[in-house]
Order: sequence, then structure tokens, then C-alpha cells
Amino acid sequence: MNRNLTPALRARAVLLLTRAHLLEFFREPGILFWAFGFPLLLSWALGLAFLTPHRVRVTLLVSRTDSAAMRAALPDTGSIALRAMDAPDAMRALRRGEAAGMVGEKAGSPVLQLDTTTQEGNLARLLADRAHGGKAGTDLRVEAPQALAGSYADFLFPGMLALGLMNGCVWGIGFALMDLRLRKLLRLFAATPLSRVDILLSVVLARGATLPLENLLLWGFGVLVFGVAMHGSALLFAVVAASAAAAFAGLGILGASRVQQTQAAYGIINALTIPMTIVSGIFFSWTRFPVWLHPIVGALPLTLAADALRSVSSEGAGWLQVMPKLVGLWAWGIGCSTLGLKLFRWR
Amino acid sequence: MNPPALEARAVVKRYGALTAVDGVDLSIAAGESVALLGPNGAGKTTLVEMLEGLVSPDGGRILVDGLDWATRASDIRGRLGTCLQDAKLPERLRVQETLELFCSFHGRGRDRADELLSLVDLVSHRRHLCGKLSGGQRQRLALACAIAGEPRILILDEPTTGVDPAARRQIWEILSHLRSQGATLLLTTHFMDEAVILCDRVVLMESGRILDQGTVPELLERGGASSLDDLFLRLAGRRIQE
Repeated sequence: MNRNLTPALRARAVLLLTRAHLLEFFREPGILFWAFGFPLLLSWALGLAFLTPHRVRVTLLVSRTDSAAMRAALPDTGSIALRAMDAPDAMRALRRGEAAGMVGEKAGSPVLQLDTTTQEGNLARLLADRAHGGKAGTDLRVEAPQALAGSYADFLFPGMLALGLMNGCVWGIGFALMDLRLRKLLRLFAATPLSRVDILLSVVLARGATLPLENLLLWGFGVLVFGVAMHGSALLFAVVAASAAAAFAGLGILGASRVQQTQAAYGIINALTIPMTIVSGIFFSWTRFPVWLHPIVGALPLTLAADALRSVSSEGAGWLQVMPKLVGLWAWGIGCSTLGLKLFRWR
Repeated sequence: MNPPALEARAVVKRYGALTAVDGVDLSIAAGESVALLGPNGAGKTTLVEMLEGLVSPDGGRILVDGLDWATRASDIRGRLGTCLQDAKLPERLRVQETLELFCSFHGRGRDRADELLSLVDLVSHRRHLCGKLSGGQRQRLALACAIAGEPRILILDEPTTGVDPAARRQIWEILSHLRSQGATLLLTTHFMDEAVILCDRVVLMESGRILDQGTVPELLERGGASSLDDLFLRLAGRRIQE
């Protein structure tokens, strides 16, 4: 305790210092956003995904030809949703775990295809029996499904890989460039005979040198510890990962193009990465979000990357099936890099 | 007749409503040493950044050895060395590694890095991390990086700000050595003695314009000032508080 201050003066000093901290806090818009805005935004996003349909409901797939008959056999009681789709799409949806099983018609009767070893399969059977029983009073026949839903690890690890690529590139390239600018090294390098393209290339190459190793380590961990499967081509998987890295590198360059303050650098990187981490279906399927959000979420680079990696590893998708997502990733990469380089400040 | 080493012709630079540099004409002959003086906000940094090719002028032309930055940027870069006041060299690189890196930008190798280490008296610190160097050592290293390609023209932005007097004298010795070898120097500084000791000519800037230029005695006579400090304070519109 300072002996020169009376308790009253000391209290006043503490109060003024507290006030000074508060003023600094409230006068920084970035801090205000992260302290107040971001938790609300996060709660809203997760609430949209998990809290809206607060009732027991399972989804069963049905072929388009059987759709009308099955809708008659299993009237919508609010507990079962029937989604009609073509057979290949249905197989993919089952592997993704987007539905509990399938229902179809055999010899004039509905037959369920369910994995009755799972909680969701048993629940679907119970609800389907109840819906059908109300109509005919008989239990439904159950068969083994043609495709099993992958494990959560099969869902999670391709997403984690996409997330790692995003963080690796946006932080490793975007933040690295901002840091070079803030330390005036970018200006120093730009004043040498080395071309500006070469300077940027060196940052991208430095990141590219370690990124494959980081991601191989993550994937290897998933395979060894959680038995994550690879049903598709490893080459295609690598091409998707490289395309995703290119898209995120572009995003990093664009994010880094104008920043001149450390706080802004952190703010921009967080603003680029955190919303996508939440909505792009890394930890849970983005189809949980309301339908009106799907076109936006589906077009985000992290969603494209995670979905494309998942479709190759979990569903064995080929080049043609993945091509639209690859084109989307290239569009992000080329668009962001071009704009970023146009706006780029070297000082 | 050789073209000036550095030349600004009617150069203008605006940032929104602010005209940072307002029609500046400046010519620095090869081998000449010039100090650019002026209060904060005078437009020195903007002018220097345009001479370095980091900022494009909104009007006028910038020429280096007669070559225009607008059309011959790649030819110009090898001729210029730049030393920034507070650039933080890569902190986790060693002194030797940093010098080899900057030498590589000019197609030079380890021999040149060794020469530079001797020149700036950092041989005993060659394995030290840049982040562990003192302010003076760091500034000497920055100077060595700036001259890695043996540039004929050196632009120094407050090269001795933040270093102790002994380190300042060391940097002056290095710069005097470079002058004696025919280098052209343009430096901004707030130390009037630095301008007097190192420079043939002083250029005074304020509000984006060149107010006056000449040798120190010429400027003092025209300005009716007893010293360059006095002239600078008048320029800045300040009064010494007795």
C-alpha cells in the first residue's frame, strides 16, 4: 500500500484507473465486437442449427418411384420425414448420415432398410412402425441397409483437414504478410531487386512446405486411432486439398492486403475464419441450419472444401462428382488472389 | 553530362483532401550527400517513399539515374539501397543469415556478407539472433542490409534515431566511408549535427513543399538563424520555452 495516499485518495485513484480501463475498453470497436457481439452471434448460429426443430423426428429416404406409395403407407405424423431421391444420391446421403435409413416397397408392402444396431435406427423403426401401425396395424419388415452411415470420425476428420488447411493458409499466409508489413519488412524487401511476386511466392512456399506434413499427421492420426476410411482416390483427395489450400491462400492474401494495425490483423483473421468454422459443417452437418441459409453456407470455401474431401473419403466420389466443388474452390482462390493483389499495400 | 542520381519533377501526392507533397522539384547529383529536414508532417516520408518507388506520385515524375520509376522499376531497384528508421529485421534469423538473405536479393553470396559484417563491425555477433541485438547493432545491421548490393544511391530514413551517441558515431563513420567511395546519400534526420557532418546540402520541407535548400551556411544566412536547430525550430513554428 502506498503510504502517501489516504484511503480516500487511494480509492479515488483506483476508481479513476478502473474508469480509464473501461474507457479504453469501450472506445475500441474491435474489443466490443469480440466481447459482446461475437458470443451473441455464436449463440444465434448454434441455436439456428440445434434448437429450432425441438422434437423427435427422423428422416427416411425413399426412391422416387416408391415415393407416393410410401407416403401413403407412412403418413406424416410429424415424427418421420420422407425424402425422395435417386438411388446413387440416397447411398451418399446414407453414408453421410443424413438419414436414418431407407424405406421401399417389396411385394406390395413397405420394407425398412435400417441399421438396428444404432440408437437412431431403432428409433426410426419404432416411429415407422407407429406411423404404419396406425394405418394397417402390422409391424414393418426390416432389412439390412445397402449402405451404412460412416462413423463420426469419418465425418469429422475430412472437416478437420479442411479446417487445418484454412487456418494454415489464412494465418500462415495472411497473418504472415500482415506481420511483415507491420514490421516494415515488406517495405524493405519491396525496395530490393527481388520482384514483388517473388516476395509473395516465398511466403506461400514457406507455408506450402509445412502444410502437407501437418495435414498428413492429422489424417494419419485419424486413420490409426479412429479408423477413418478412404473410399475414394487418394490422388483426387490430394487435388481437393491442394485446391482448398489455394482458395484459402487467396483469402489470406485478400485479408492481408490493406491491414496496417496489429489489432485489425487479428480482427480480420478471426472474422474470416471463425464464422466459417461454425457454419461450414466441420463438427456437425450444415444441413442443420435453416434452408434459407443453405445457398450461402454451401458456397463458402470451407464448406466446399470439407464437403469435397468428405465425398471423396467417405463416399468414394469421383472427379466428375467433385468437379463443381473444385471449380468453386478455384473461383475463390483466383478471385480473392486477384482482388488481394490489386489492393495490396507494400508499406 | 550524367543525369542526376535522384530527381523529382513537379511531384504531387495526395491522400484524400490532404496534399502531402505539393509540386516538389528536387535534384541530387551523383556522389552528392543531401539531408531532408522538416517538422513532422512536412511530407518528407511521402517524398522519400516516392523516391524509393514504394508510392506512385499523383502528378510529376520520379527519376533515378535518369530512369523513370513508372517504366523502369526493375532496373532502378538494384541501384538503390534503403534503410528504414524502425524496420524490425527478422528477429529469429541470425545476423549472418540475415545478411546472406539480403545479399541473395542482389545476386551476391557469402563473401559479400562477410565483407559487410566487417564493415559494420558485427563479426563477433554473426551468430546472434537479430532480435537480441541492441538498437545500435540493429541499425548497423539494417545499414549493412541496405548496402548489400553495393548501391550507388542510398536513401536513409532517420538512420540514427533511437541509438546511443557512440552507436550514432559508428553509423556516421560507416556513412562517411560510403560517401568517400562515391555513394549518393539522401537522409532524413532530426539531428542537425548529423546533417552538418554528413551532408553537402540541406533541403528544408514544410507542408509538402520545399521551402529552401543549399549548404548549411547559405541556409543560415538566408534564414537569419544562428544554427540549423534555430532554423528548424522557426520552421516548425515552435518557441523554446525559457
